[in-house]
Amino acid sequence: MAWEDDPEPGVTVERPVPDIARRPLAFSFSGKAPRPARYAPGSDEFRYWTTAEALRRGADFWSKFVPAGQWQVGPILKVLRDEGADLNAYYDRKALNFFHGQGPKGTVYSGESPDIACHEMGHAILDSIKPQLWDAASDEIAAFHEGFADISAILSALQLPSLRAAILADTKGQLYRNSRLSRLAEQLGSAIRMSHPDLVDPDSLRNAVNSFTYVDPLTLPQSAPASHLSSEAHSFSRVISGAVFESMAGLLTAKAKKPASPSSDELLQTSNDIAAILVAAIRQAPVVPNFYAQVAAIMVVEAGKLNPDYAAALKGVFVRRSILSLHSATHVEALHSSVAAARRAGVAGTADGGDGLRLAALPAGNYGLAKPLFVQTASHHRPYLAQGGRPLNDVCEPPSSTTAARSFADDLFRRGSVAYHAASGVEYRLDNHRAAKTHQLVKVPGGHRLERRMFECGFCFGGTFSRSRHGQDKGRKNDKAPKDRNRRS
Amino acid sequence: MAKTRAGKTTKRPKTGTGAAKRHETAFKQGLVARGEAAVPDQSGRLPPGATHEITGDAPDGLPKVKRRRFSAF
Repeated sequence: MAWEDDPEPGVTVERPVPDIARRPLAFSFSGKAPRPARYAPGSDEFRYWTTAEALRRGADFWSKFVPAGQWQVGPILKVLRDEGADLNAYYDRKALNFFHGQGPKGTVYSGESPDIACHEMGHAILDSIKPQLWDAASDEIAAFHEGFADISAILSALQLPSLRAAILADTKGQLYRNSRLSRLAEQLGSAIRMSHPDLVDPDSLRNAVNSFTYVDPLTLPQSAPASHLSSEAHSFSRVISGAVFESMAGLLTAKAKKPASPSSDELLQTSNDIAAILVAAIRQAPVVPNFYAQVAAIMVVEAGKLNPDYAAALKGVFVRRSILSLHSATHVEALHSSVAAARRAGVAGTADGGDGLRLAALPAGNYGLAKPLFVQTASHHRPYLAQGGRPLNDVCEPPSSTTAARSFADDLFRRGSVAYHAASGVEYRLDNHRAAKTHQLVKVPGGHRLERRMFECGFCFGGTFSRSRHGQDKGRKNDKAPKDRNRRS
Repeated sequence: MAKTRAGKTTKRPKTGTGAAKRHETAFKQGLVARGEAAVPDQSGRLPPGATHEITGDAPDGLPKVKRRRFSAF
């Protein structure tokens, strides 16, 4: 017998004896295991088996998404059930560490809550999937780790048939409603609320049903009451955990034969789908400060591969929460397929790795182009920070390479300095007959590449020199870009 | 370069660009302000709530930090 999700709601469930040593994703517990039997809640034996059951269930769920089949630390992860007094729990790349402290109704053991056990295990799962996130000095990336851990608790709970049935009944099939599933670690929340009443949500440690929307964490305070967002990792994590939970509800509606009353099996399949989409996106996402947007964009693409209705559901959630801009959500699938096509064709600068300048795919509808525009970005690694100065001893913050490339391309098209060749119909072009064409569009798989043709002298505006010498866009309807520029090795 | 469990080396995320440096500075300032960066005691333990170990001082006046753990709260 074990808790379903947390000692405070206190719903028990009969479960088979968990084999914590089973691989993949094995555990080793501190101390000797008590004999498997039905123990009363409140006993140490009950706590042992409820922690073991939750971790085995969670690890079994995630194991299909961890191809290496082991933790970041190796095949076995230690579990230290009670490391002393603290209302907390930790994952430290050596073990899952649990503690105890005083709650309103007696001693609270953090490891006794399946929500907390599967939250900490979620850190270990993500560390196995994407170890580069461990020490990234970024509020958003640290918050993503916390959000993933909360989602791990939710998805692990959904592997219990009894909990799925209870949640579908409680929410009347509307998964994105405040419920025992969305409320995480109620008991630990109550214990922390005794001394810090405003640091946790009113009904739990954190609630995945929330209305927080994305803002740049640089603009947020370093700490805030739970009712507000701050750049602190657990606080800011609620943006992404809320978005993923809401997305899962959207996927369930899209999947269910009867959307108003989805079945338990459909909810189980949806939990697998959202996990697959999330993990695939995490694997592909670059480790950059706006990690939420990177993951969200790839989630939309991955969701579309499973079910076209899924992509629409995810876009709606991510746009509503400002994790993706409307513009990004609209273009993400086209950009992704263009980059994939360019990589397959071996277009220089689009492959992973290497030390050359990278190509970035930009949405190009505003340039009159139906397909994305590839531009070479000024993207060498900066080994140290050098900034320009501004009055009042201020500094100019350098833009990202992609932002700089976008601005540069905007200026070129605005001035009419780009020779379209056959890339677009005349009626869609931004043209200026008097401007020298310093750049041209070259067709590549997945779109067009912006290439420089020449540097202009700066005095040719108005036709001082002949147009042909300065690369005017001759023969607008039938001209072709040089074929030898389509591919570079 | 960081080593994975398999002994392979992986590329660390690029740092040092303007945006990345701003985020790194804000991240460290937040750790210090909230008491999440601390010097370990003689047995190597961090105080409750701390997630990062202070390993030294950086020229910008902020500490050098290294993550030791993630917490539930």
